[in-house]
Amino acid sequence: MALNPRVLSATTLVLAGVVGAVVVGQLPALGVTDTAITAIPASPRQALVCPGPVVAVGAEGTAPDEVTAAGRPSRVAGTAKGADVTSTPLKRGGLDGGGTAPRVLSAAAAPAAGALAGAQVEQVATGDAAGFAAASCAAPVADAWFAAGATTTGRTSVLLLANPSAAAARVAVRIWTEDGPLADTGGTEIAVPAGDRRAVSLAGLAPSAGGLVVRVTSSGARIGAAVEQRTVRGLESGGVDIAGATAAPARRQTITGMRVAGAAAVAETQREDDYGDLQPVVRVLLPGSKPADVAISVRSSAGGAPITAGRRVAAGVVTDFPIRGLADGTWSVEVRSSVPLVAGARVSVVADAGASSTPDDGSSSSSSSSGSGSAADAPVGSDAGLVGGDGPVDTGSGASPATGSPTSTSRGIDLAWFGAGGRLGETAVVAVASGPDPVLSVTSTGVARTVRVSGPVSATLQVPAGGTASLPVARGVLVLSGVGGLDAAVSYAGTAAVAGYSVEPADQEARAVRVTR
Amino acid sequence: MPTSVTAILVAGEGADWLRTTLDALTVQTRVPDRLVVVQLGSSPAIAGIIDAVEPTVHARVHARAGFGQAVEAGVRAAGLTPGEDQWLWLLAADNAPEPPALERLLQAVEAAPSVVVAGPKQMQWDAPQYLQAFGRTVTPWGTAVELAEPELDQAQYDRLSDVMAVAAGGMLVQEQAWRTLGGFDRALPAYDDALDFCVRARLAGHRVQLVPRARVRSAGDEAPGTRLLGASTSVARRARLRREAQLHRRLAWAPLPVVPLHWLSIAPLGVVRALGQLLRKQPGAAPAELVAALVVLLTCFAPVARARARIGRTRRTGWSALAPLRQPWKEVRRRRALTRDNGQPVERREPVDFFGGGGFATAVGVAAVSALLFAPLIGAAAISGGSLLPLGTIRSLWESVGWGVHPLGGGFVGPADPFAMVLALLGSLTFWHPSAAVVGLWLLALPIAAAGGWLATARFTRRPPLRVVGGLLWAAAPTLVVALDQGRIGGVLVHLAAPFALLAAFQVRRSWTASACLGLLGALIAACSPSLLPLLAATWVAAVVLGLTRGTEEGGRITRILPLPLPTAVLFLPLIAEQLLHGRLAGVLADPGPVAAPGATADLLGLPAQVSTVLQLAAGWPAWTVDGWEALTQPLGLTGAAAAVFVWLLGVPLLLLALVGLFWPRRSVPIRVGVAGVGGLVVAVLATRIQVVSDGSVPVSAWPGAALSLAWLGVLEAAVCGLDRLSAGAAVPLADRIGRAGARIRALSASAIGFTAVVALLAAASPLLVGVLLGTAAVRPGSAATVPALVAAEAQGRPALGMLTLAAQPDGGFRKRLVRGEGQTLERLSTLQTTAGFGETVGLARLAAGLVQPSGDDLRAALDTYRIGYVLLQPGADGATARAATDEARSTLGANSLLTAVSTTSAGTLYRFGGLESGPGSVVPTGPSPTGSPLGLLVLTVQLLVLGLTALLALPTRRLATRFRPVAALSAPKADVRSIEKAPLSAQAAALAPEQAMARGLGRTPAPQDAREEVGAWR
Repeated sequence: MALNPRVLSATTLVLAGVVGAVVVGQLPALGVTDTAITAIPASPRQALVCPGPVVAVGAEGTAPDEVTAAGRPSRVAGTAKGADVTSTPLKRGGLDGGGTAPRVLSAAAAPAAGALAGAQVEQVATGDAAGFAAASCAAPVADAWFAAGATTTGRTSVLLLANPSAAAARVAVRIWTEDGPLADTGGTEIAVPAGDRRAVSLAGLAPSAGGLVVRVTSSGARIGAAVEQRTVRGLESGGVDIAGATAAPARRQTITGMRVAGAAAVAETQREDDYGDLQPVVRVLLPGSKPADVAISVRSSAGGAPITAGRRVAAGVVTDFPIRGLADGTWSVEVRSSVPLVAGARVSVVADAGASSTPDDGSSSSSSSSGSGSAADAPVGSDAGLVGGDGPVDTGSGASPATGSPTSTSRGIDLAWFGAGGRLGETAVVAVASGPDPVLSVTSTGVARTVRVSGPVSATLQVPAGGTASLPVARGVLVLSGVGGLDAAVSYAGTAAVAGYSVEPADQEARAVRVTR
Repeated sequence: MPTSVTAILVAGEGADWLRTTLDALTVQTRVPDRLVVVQLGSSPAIAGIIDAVEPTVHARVHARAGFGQAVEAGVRAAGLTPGEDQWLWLLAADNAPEPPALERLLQAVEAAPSVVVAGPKQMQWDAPQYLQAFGRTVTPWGTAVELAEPELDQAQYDRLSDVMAVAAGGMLVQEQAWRTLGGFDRALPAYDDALDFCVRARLAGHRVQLVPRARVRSAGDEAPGTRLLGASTSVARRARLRREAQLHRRLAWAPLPVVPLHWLSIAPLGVVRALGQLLRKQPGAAPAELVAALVVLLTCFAPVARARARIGRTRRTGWSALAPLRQPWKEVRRRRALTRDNGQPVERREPVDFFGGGGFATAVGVAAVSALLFAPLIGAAAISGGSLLPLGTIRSLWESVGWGVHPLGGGFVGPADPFAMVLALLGSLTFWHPSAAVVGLWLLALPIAAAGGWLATARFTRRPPLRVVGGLLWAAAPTLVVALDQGRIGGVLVHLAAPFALLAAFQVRRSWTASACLGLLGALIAACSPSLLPLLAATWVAAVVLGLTRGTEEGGRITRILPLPLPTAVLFLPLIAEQLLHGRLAGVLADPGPVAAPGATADLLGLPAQVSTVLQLAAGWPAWTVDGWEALTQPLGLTGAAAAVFVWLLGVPLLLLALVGLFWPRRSVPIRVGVAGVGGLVVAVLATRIQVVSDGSVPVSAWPGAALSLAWLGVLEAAVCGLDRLSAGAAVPLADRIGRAGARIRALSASAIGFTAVVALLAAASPLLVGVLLGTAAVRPGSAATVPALVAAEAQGRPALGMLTLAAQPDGGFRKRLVRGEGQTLERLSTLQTTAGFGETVGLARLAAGLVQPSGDDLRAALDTYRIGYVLLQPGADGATARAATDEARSTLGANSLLTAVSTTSAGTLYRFGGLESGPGSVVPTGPSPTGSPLGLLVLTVQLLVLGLTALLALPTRRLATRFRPVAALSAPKADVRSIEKAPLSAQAAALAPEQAMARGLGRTPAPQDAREEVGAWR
């Protein structure tokens, strides 16, 4: 049987088949060649949107919820290579008052002109609140998160929207509060026509909310967005700030450049009734559906042991973690969790805890701000000339500072919101406006790094591993090199002023796209 | 005045024939007065033989001369004095006369003075009892026919006397008439020379007579003849010469007014007759018809004028005088009937009774099940989904074949996929709505597969239940089921074609029909699944080598195998050339049609992926459809991997049966079939390693299902053979009754095993089989448009309107596809695009890159250039990178003021570009259609010609054609030499004196004493 030729040939055949199939199965794939085309379109003209002047709610007295704009912020803008920057005002969007409109800064495409950066500052001394507000002019986005604002009594939050493009934008707003997400705002859509702006009081959407996290999503044109908060306690101003967008949800957020000044006065004042929100806090929201443990560590740029906080946080609930024991200085905050979260931080300053809470008729905003030393050289309230080029100067300049309000701060209270910044590229550009005591802070969550700063201030910063380095800077456009993967921010702090904004990655350069078929 | 006879013997090659004939001449009872031997050429051997008999004249003409020319030279050389009593006796080397032949011819002409031409009876050389030819005539249409059939001479034709013509060999002709009539027509060097001469003699008022008692021999087609027409002349050349002669006669004989009409009809008739030769399965004769028509068409003028002038000079009577001598239609029909009956090939195999044997019933049953399973498809306008797209219009189908412009991406000009030809032919079946043909294919696939499987199985077993098992196993084959589920139209067609290809392959050596069928099926299979090309090529080479090494005991051993790749070659050569020019020959192997996203990979018990793939393919599964199986195995409490293993095991019984069939010691399945099974599996594994296309950034393997179909065929037939052997069992020495009962039990159990295998397979395939019914299949009934309705509506007025589809890839890049009009249709796709990026332009890629991110490019101009009116952003791949890219693209597209978002569905977000200018864009593909350029025309003509002619050859028209033009069978009643006693030969040998015979052997020529004087008269 074994010698039967049939069995022999059949065995040969089957064995050959098995061996052949297995051997062929191990062959490397034949003919794989990449036919993708990597295309790089021309980079677009760079554009940044400056949120414009601080708006006032119910300032004219006609209607308590009416939104008006009155101020004229001062701006600084420029590119890394010193190219021309054009500044164009948008429409005012039907806002009353004498304030200017948001501005679009534009410059030639990034590869030729260098990355564009801009910032605005405004010393507000009008209406029922006074304070110092600073914001960076940001690239238009389709999706932005804000961990800032409150709408309890005396706290007014306004969503500032500006559409710099030629297409209309439909902006959807989603709001989370300490009670969870607001269901009825899911369908809220705000139409922002092309080249126009809108200011929406968040009190109408989320009344009496102690803590807000706002997400705006634009379908259609990309927009510039910011959240403004102003606080009035009784007749005393509690400060003003414009908060820029914080980073999109991620498992780790870094807030850098959190300036603390007058910590002792704040601690003294916050014991009073309704002054509890002077307390520095880190605001956290888990926008997903799972609760998670959140760990916060706050480090000083001066070094030392970090201050930690943290506990389990429910999903969809805005949680403010009070951070106690902060000394004056620049701090960085790192928030970690096992699920994506958004984070922001608030600080306040009190210039003179002992002063009367009664408004002082004689003190004007200019006098109160003149107390802040380094800000004295800047013509606050007017549009500054653009730095880094000979671009046109805002025609709205030259107006005198607004007359002091009877409700302007007497104890010199101001607040500021800091957001988490985006991880920077290898180089970054940031504009520093004329404000009190501007400081650049750079935080590394990883290894120690050396950062070169050039511009009005040229220096080399040694950023320690997992720590923060700070550098006093001056008005102008700074170019930071060697900041890949780091976070940076600019903060201002004075006697009755505190503000800041993070340095955003300059990503207006078109990137290569692998196009397959 | 005594009659004087000059024998003119024309000798070319063939020394033996010549010797015999010369010997026969010397023993004539009435010896010719002069012997003129005309030698064609100057072979010394022949010259020696001729000179040995010392002829009166030994003339030489050049070797290429025809018979008529040689005779003329002989007459000239003889230098005869003109006179009525001078006769010429024309003989060829093979026309050995019987001793009294000349005497009896002379008696006939002397008895009838009006007779100027007398012809003897031509007998077969090898069997002189049998007739070779005896008089010629023409049919009413002018075809030359023999009056006598080659049959045993029983004096049945002896009553014939006055005939239209006699053969040249042995013809006795009056010298004066020969001279007056001008001899044979030089324009008829091979055929019909004597016929034409006799007709002219008749027209001149003379008579032509047969002399049945005078007999010469003739070797017919095996005669050495002349250089022009001899034993070495091929069949095709004979056909050509015969046709040329007929055409010349027609032009020479016709009334003058209709000659131009005849001339004009030559070319069309040539084509029609060539096609007819294909239908008669005589492909060799088809070119002969065309060449003959061409030759006569171009060169006929002077010869015809000469011939007509000659007739005009000598004509005394009208053509009507010849009418009674023509063969009447009735006789023509009778003779054809005789040929037909004689030529009927003997059926060696018993015919397979498809209708009565259960095949038809199986197919009908499967058709009913198929109608139920595919009920949602009945009446659908088109099927789409998976790898299937609708077909375009019939115009678009035929514009996509050959070599022309392809409106893909930026457009390119190049060869079409061979598959486009398949689609064009398939769509032409329902030319009013080509997509309906695909719907029909889906509905009929299972019954056709069942019928094909039944027929193929019928070759391997006589048992009806096993044939049914074979049909069902073929219809339920996993490859077919998966191909139907995933819309693999190529896989479906290969699976349907495979059993018929097997049947044709078994007969390819015997039948031109089978050869042509196999050629066409091979082209179909290769076009549907080019990854099989290496396998097909290897098989063909092996068949040729085997045919050569086994010798040629059968004439057509490889003649019918050699041309097999021709249809495939003409379809693929343009594509191969184009891919070679771009250095991507492997691209030829790419599957035609849309690039499908790669499916799940096999995971069997955690084995390595490549081993799992081999096991998956070995079980017959070209794709791993775990999802469907989980539902199937849920009731068994199996989940995940266990379900896969269970389903895989369902295919194992069949493999075991196949091994039984393969290993059974006697009468097992042919090893060739086993080779097909194993080879198919190896090629299927190989197909998974061919990754010449990619879906976005993911490389995609070739479809292994086509090769698996071939493997499955081998496994199926081996399994059926195994069952057959099991049911036959071993010969058990039992009592008759017990033995018979045991045999019945064995047969029943074998059938039961077979049906169990069918049931197991059906269970494994059932989740896919019901997929269309439940809507879980990839294919679904759909409309002919594959773009969103909004785009389709606008595209109806603007067929060039483009829609750019973008989908984010896992690496953050984008896949872009540009479709025009109402959407991509199947025939418009090209593997040149999917493999080599034809039609891909940097501009289009840059446009895509500029759309998905803010850019400074002039998108308006780019959109206008490519006539893109819509942009569809698809959901894209899974993964964070792809999602982020999609989100950015969505916001960028939304922010683009050129675009307006019009709808968001599960297919993605559609944006409209409102500013599209009318008129063709600068890059909208324009170029030559398949018939719009010389190259395109050439490619298309060659392809259609080869396919059309092969199809004609493949038509089973042999019986039909032989009704009208019977082909004489190879075994026609020509004398079978072996069965005939050699009496006539010996009689003739007896006629030779022993001395003569001896002398011939010694090479000398001592003539017999009694003949010496006569012979001396020659000198």
